Amino acid sequence: MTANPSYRPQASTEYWQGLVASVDALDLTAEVEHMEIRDTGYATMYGVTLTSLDGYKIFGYLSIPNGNGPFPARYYPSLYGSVVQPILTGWTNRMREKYVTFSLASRGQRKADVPFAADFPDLLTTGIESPDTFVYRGIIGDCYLGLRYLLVHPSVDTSKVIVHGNDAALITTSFSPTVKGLVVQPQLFYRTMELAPKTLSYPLEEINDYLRAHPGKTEKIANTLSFFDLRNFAPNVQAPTLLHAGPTGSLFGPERLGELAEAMPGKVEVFAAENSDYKDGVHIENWIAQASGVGEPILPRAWQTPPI
Amino acid sequence: MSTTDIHVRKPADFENFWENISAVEAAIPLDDTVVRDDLRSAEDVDVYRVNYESIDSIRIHGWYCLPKKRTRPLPAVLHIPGYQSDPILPKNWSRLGFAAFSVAPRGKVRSRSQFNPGYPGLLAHNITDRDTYGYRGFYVDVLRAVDFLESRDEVDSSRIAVTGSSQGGGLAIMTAAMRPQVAAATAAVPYLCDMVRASTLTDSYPYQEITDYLRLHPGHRRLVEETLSYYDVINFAPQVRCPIIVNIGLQDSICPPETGFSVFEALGSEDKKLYTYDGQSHDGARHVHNPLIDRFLMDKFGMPKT
Repeated sequence: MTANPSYRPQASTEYWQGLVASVDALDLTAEVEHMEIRDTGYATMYGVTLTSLDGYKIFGYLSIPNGNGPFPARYYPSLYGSVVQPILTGWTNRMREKYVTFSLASRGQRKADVPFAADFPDLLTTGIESPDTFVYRGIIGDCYLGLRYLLVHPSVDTSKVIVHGNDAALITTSFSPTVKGLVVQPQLFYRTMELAPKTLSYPLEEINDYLRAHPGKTEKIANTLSFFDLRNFAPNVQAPTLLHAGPTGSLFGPERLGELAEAMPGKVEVFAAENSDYKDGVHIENWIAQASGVGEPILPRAWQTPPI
Repeated sequence: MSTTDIHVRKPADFENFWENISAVEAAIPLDDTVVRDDLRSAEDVDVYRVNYESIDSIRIHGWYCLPKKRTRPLPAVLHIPGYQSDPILPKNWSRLGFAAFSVAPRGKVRSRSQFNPGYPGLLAHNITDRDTYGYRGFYVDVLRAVDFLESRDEVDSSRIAVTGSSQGGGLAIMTAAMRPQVAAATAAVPYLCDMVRASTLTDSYPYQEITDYLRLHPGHRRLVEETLSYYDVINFAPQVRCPIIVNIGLQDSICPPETGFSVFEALGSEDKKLYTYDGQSHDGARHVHNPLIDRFLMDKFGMPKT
């Protein structure tokens, strides 16, 4: 990994190299359960349980198109929230006809909540006083393990894997040069100490709550968060990237994300959200269709009719 | 797009069914606890963790927020969560001057130790039996959140509102119907409306859960339709009498707009308004509509403009 000392403490290089090495050493043998209730006429669903760092059991919904593969794949690393859906909410189930989809529940989320059932709000500050105790160390490890599992699955065309998500998607992609495309919407780990005070909304409000309750711990929190800042990882993202910014003028608006985009060596499109799940969704789906080589976007019926 | 088609059958004993459930839950003391949460409280808002008893001996959690500077009595708002979203911490409602309660019905974070069907899972949990269907207790948990607010000394019980989006929107309508003391309601992109039909109009989750279930159990269709008819929000809507606003996105891939039109048509309130947003999906134009919700409730409750 390329170090960028202006964002992260020197120790973070060793920290992340250690984490990647630890995950690389994990056995990819999974417990796989057929989830017949989620089958369709065109795809079969499996529940996949993997053993991650510290022996923690994590879960993923793995859907494989019926027919002869290998198939392009979409990987959904965990988002902030307790619920993990088989595919992103609002997207059409029909995508499972063309793509392998793998949606990961990292430690603390539903179906991966034994023994640790995360609270929301609370997850973002769990163990935050040290990079070694911060819960996101394990979560990033879980997400990277999920990607490793997908990249060796025989049904997956490893040259056509798209990663789609929030901060964990970017960090995970930076560990793997074979990812074909990245769709990322920063939410947690971009200039966190600078941006959190500008909002009253969760999840970043967790940081404000914590610092209000523990004002003497500001340096410790800042140090931990500096290990996770997305700018550390951007130079290692080789994949073409759709950087999904917030609307112009918002906390994660395009004017704030330029520095992140410039740090990525691959082709980057900064896309400002249009205050419409529909418009954003169509844009993202078109981008993924092109990046994955599938060509035609797979849209929900409601998105196939243009606005009046 | 039809604006009037309603495909939901209302069972002849719909009212009796819910009266029986109401009688059961009314006999259960609320037995609430209210504990201040210093970590989540802020300079301008006091935050409390609430627990209360609901049917099946299940404890229900909620976040309760009060403006630090307050004069009694306060108008109140109940926020009902979406299907897959975790319950919000409603500090921003208190910043507008409300006593704000955000309920975590059974299965949600902090209310899932005794009942946890998961997501996906809840929509089809015991879906062939109206008496054990997962939403039976979930609906009651929400109704009792109104009772909690009404029990509070600092709340003006004549000014209680319900609000929510998606599942929260649908259940805001259900709550306004079942608790006539609710004085105003807002329902964004309402879910749980015309459910069987909705599952044929979208292939996104959560309605996909119905499709999944019927694919595996095609012989259960009649039972599924029977159960859902007791829980379909369209069958509650005629009982709503309070002022209410509803918004839908015309490109909603989760809750088909057809079902939003249907439930709006069915609402019994004389003071109702529908906002339709073209070019919008399940977010329902929240960037422009949320300020309208704030203003609507504050106007109805005679609160000063901020």
